[in-house]
Formats: sequence, C-alpha cells, structure tokens
Amino acid sequence: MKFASLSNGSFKRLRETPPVDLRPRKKSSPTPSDSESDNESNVNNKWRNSLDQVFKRRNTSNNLGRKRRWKNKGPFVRTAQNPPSPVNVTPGPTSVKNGPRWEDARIDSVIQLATISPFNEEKVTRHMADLTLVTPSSPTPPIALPPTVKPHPIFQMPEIVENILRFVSAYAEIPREKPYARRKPLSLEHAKLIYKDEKKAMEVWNNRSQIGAHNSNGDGNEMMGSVMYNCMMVNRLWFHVTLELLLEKFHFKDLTKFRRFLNVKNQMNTNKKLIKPKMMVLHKFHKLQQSELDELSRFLSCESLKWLEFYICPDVVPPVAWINQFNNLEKLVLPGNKKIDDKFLIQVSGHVNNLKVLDLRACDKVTDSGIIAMAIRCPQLQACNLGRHRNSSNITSLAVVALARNTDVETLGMAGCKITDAGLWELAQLRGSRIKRLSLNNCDLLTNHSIPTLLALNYFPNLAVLELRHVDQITEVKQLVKFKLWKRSQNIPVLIEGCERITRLMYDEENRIRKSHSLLAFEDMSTWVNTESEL
Amino acid sequence: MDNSDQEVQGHQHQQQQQPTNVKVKNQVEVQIGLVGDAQVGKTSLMVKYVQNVFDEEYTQTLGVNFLKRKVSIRSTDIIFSIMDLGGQREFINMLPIASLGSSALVFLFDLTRPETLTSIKEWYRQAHGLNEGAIPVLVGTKYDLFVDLDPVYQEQLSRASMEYAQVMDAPLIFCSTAKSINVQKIFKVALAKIFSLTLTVPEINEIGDPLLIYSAFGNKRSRGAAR
Ligand SMILES: Nc1nc2c(ncn2[C@@H]2O[C@H](COP(=O)(O)OP(=O)(O)OP(=O)(O)O)[C@@H](O)[C@H]2O)c(=O)[nH]1
Ligand SMILES: [Mg+2]
Repeated sequence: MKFASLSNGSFKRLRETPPVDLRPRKKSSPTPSDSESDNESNVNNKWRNSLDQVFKRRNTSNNLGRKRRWKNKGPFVRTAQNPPSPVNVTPGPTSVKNGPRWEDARIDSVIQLATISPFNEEKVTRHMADLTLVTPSSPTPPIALPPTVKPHPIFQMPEIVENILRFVSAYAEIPREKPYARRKPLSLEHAKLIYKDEKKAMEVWNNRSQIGAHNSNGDGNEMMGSVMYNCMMVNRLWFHVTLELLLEKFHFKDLTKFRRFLNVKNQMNTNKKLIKPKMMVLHKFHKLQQSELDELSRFLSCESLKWLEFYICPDVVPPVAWINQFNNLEKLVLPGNKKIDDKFLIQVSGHVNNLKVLDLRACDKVTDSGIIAMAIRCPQLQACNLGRHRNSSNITSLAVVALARNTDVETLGMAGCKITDAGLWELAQLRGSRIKRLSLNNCDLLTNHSIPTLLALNYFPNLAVLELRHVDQITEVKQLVKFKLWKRSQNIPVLIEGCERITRLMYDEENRIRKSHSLLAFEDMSTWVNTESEL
Repeated sequence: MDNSDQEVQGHQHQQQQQPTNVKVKNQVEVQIGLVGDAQVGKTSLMVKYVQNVFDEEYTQTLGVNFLKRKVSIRSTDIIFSIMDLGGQREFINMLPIASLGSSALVFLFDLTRPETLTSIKEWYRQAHGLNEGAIPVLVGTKYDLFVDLDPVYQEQLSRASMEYAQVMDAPLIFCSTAKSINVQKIFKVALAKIFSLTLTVPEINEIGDPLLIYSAFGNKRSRGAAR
C-alpha cells in the first residue's frame, strides 16, 4: 500500500512518460497491512506531504533551472543492471510492465528512503546497502540497455542519486599529508633500536624516504577521484548532482588546473551563483598569489565551510571577506605560511566559535598572543599544532596554559617551542587526563622535572603518542619505560618517539626492567609450586 | 558540551585525582594439553582445577575443550590455558590442537583400567611426535577407586606406571579428582618442569599411596626457561 502511494506521489513529478502502476498486486490472503487500505487516502497524503517537502527543499535551496533541464531531456540512465533473473530481483523492463515483483523487503527500504531523505542523510546512506548495485568492475560486463528501456526508477530520483553520489564522493581523493604510523628513524642504529630486528631495521632505513613523505601525487585513491567524473557522464541528472558534490569539496593540488578553473569561472559571467563549499583544500601552492585568492572569492562563499586548508601555500592568507563567514569552520589548517600573524589570528578568533582543529605548524610569525586570542574564543578546540623550526621563542608556556585553560585540547604539537617544565605541569594539572598526543620534539627547556615526573605520577593516563626527540635535558627514562610497560599490560600501547639517545636509554632501561621482572616471576613461581595446598 | 559558561572555572577543577599506580604485573602464560583414552577423567580434572567442581556424570567430550585459569602470586600472574582433547578415536585428528603450542602434555590413564595405561604408548608416540619440546607428565586418575582394589593389582599397576614414566622421562602422579588428591600438584609439577624450578614438596613413593614422583623422572630434558 505504502509503496503505491509513494509511486503516485513521486514518479509523476519526475517522469514525463505516463506513470506505471507500481502497486504490488493485491494479495488474496489478508495481511495486517491490508487493514490500512481503509484509510489509504490518509496515508497517501502523509506520504505525499513528506515528498513535497523534498521537492520544496530542492526548489528553494537550488536553482529551478537545473531541474527543468533534467525534464527536457527525459530520463536516460545507463545503469549496470543485468536483465531480470530469478537471482536479481531488481525489476527490469519486463517486470515493470507486468507489475512489479519486488521482494517485500526491498519495497520497505525504498519507502524508508522516501520518508527519511529530507531529514537524515546518514540513515539513507545506510539503507542503500540493501540495494544490490552492480559495480562497473563486475566480471560480467554490463549489458547495454536499448535507449527505450527505463532504468530502475530510483536512479531517477534526485534525492537518491544525490545520496548514491555522496557515498561515492566520500571516497574521492583529497590531497593530504600521508598519515604515518611512526616517524622516520634518524639513523640505521636508531632503526635497530626501534625495531629490535636487524632485517626490519634495514628495510625501514632504506625506505626512509617513503615514510612520512608528503602525498602530493595521490595514490590508491586516484581511481576513486575519477569515479566522480565517470558519474558525471551518466546523464544530465547525474551530471548536475555530481557537479554540485564536487564543488562542495573544493580541492586542488595542481596550480595550473586551479588557474584554469579561475579563468573559466571568470568568463562565465552569466553564472552568478556562488560556490559554497564545505571543504576547501589547496595543496602546496608555493606560487599562489593573494590576488588569485581574491579573484576566487568573487564566486565563492565560505558560509558553509567546515574545513579550510592551505597546505604550504606560503604567501597567501584567507581574504578578509571569508573570515567573516567562518562561523561553521571546524578545521583550520595553514601550515608553512609566511604571512599568517597574530593580527590575522585575532581577527579570525572572533568568528570561529566551532573550531576543533588548528594547525599552524611552521607559521613563524605567530606568537603567544595570537594563540591566546584563539584559545579564548575556541572552547571546542581539540587539536592544536604549533610546531616549528624557526622563531621558537615566539611560542612559550603562555600559549600552552591558555589552551589548557580554555579549550578541550587533546592533541598538542609544541615541537621546537620554548615551553618550560612549569608550563607542562600546568597543562597536566588542568587537562592531563584528556591529553592523547603530545609532541615535544626539540623543546630544549624541558627537563626531568616535567615529563618523566609527570608520567611517574600518572598525570597523563590516556597519552597514546609522545614525541620526545632531541630534548637534551631529559636523561631520566625509567618512568617513561614504566609507563610504556604499564600501558602495554593493559593492551593500550603507547608510542614514545625518541631520538637515538632517548631510544637507546629506553631500550637499555627496558631490558633492565624486564630482567628484574623475570627474576621476580621465577621467584614467585618457585614459591607457588612449593606451597602445600589442595585447591 | 557546555562550554558556554565555562570561562576560567569550568576547566580548572575538572582534573580528577590521578590513579598513581603505574605498576606492571608479570604475566606468564602456559598452555597445557590433556590427552588419554575416553573416560579416563581428563575433562573432570580440568573442570576441577579451573572451577573446583566435580561431576559424577560422564559427558563425552566432542573435539577439544578449552579453559583458562589465572593464578596470582605477589607480582606475577600465571595463566594456565588447558586444552582437553576428547579421548574417542575419532578425535585423533584434532590432536595437533591440544599438542602444538603446549609447554606440557599431561598423559592420563585410569588406574582402575590397565588397558588405558597401555594406550599411553600410542598417545605418547603421537602427541610427543607432534611436539617434542613439550614436557610430558604421566597421571593416573581415580585414585579413590584404586585404593579399594586388590593390593597385588595396586602393586603391579604402580610398578608398570613407573616403568612407563621412566621410558617417557615424565613425572608420575596418581590423583583423584573426586576426592581432591594431587590435583593442584599436577599443574605445579608441570610448571616447575617447564621453567626448571626447584621443587621441594615431599615426594610420595610408597606403593599404595597416591604416588608423586618428580625427581627421578623428567630431568633429562632441560628447556630454556621462558621469560
Ligand atoms: N571416582 C572417580 N570418578 C572420576 C574421577 N575422575 C573422573 N571420574 C569419572 O569418570 C567419568 C569420565 O570422566 P571425564 O572427565 O568425562 O572423562 P574424559 O577423559 O574427559 O572422557 P572423554 O571426554 O570421553 O575423553 C565421569 O563419570 C567422571 O565422573 C575420579 O577421580 N574419581
Ligand atoms: Mg572429556
């Protein structure tokens, strides 16, 4: 019943061809749902209403013209369906003509899609799993349907197509730093200490140039990127839905392509529509000019932006016009930027209430005051990276304390900053139990009075990664090893990245501890085997 | 998250007092395989040792049973993983499950059924063949029934089992799961042999008593102690 009303409500609007009666044939035996048929018109209305909302939403939020274009052309969808067979229950052309023979479960899932779609995208995406879609890579090549054949109706419903493509786009490649499990070893000797296995160490050492290398050419996911473009070729409906999704995730890693895009956009003066991406990533544009960004901002609005990343684009800052639209921004990633300074951050801080991730690695101009301004205004901030090689005295314990006091920080990158033992103590006391990652490489002011002591007192019980390279004043590693062993005994391994010196110290200490532990174990076992007691 | 009214106060006092214990317990894990003819009392022994219950009723073991017991002494946890293989012939193809990976193999026979001792030859040949590094332990079960039998039979069987123990180079233990005699001892002796620990518990050598002989047998092989 429900399905019938769905088809009445929706397909008429979408297709010019006379609607097919998709009502399942009346069952002779009464089923519980049959009782609903008495007030079918009621149900009908309810369903229609929710579908009306779907269309209203589309019509108001998007341009009307687009929809008209789909209509003119009429549906012609190349789907990779096989002709109907007992196994494949998806109705092919014949089954539509003769009335559908869908499995009840299948019908249910379509109905659910229709009701939920305006409100809950995630749920819809999950429901798509019920439909057996044939992927292009399937061993049997898809049979080309003659142009008169109607595709499965769901591939003509914009809402459903959008969800399908959204799913595809979730896998599309976005240029980003390759995540690495471990940092590169600093020497072969270091690798041996870390991996405790000559062969493995050799292998890692010889391949070191590949570990943590920045992924600028994309790999593996490259194919998924082109899948989106393939989707654009299906038909007009698919083209427009895909395009919109592509513009939602705005990312470039090739400056020439980016410039071409700017040019094309500039020439299309008729199209006044603003792009409102949710994500914008520019990857390693060393030569990008500020004027080009300003040009971009003429047809781009940041009001929906959640993620802004200029990865090593040293000479540009987000234009002022954008900053005022940062209210939805959750992730601000600007590593390696020469222009970003405190003034910029102070300006930004007034608009980024929802910020969760702030990455200002190697932004040499930034100092404590910029960070303090951000910390005060970003209560939800969880990850903050201020690591640097130059201008180390720009960032001190003041920044750490401000972050600890005002934000939800869990991941803190302070490599190469002038933070002190006192700063870390304050962090430990304010937020110690929430800290998960801590990078203190090259923090040359730190001594045994902070990290080793703090770990011994278990101030950072949830620490999972601790980077501690080249912190020359730390000589006491017993507590680090004890902490590591304690975490391991709970099956929550902790990674402590040390330089060769610290790794060596820890290695020796671990052996010492192990030896004394196994002596103890032998003592304990000897005692036990010689105690007289029957159960 | 109610960060709205947070300011200085909100965050400052939420730090709970830390659990100061970062101490690690030593963990020693040993797997022990139990093999022997059907109905000799393998499952009973394992269940008794792990759960301290004894069931008169017999339930045939289908395939392999597995139970764990943790013993904590001071700073060390010993974890016994016990593999109990059904004694019916048809399960012989699962012998590798009980045998491979075991540090000790306990060969059980029924003190009231001499033919189960004879079978030990075959059990030992097969199980030991699969895992030569495992410490063998020879165990006679149902000692509570055995003591009531004819003294001559008792003497004969005791001597025979000592010969078997000698050939296998395995400690010999008579036990009763029903009456809780020498049950723990089996696992203590096994552990001591695995790690070459010095045993000082008194041995029992008198014919007719629940034998506990570990110094004469099972010393040829000295395995490198694990951590
Ligand atoms: N009196 C007495 N009976 C025992 C003792 N141990 C086991 N039994 C009985 O012997 C029977 C067989 O015991 P199980 O432990 O099931 O034997 P099993 O070796 O596991 O047998 P399968 O699983 O067939 O290989 C049961 O009825 C037990 O109650 C014992 O020490 N004394
Ligand atoms: Mg059994």
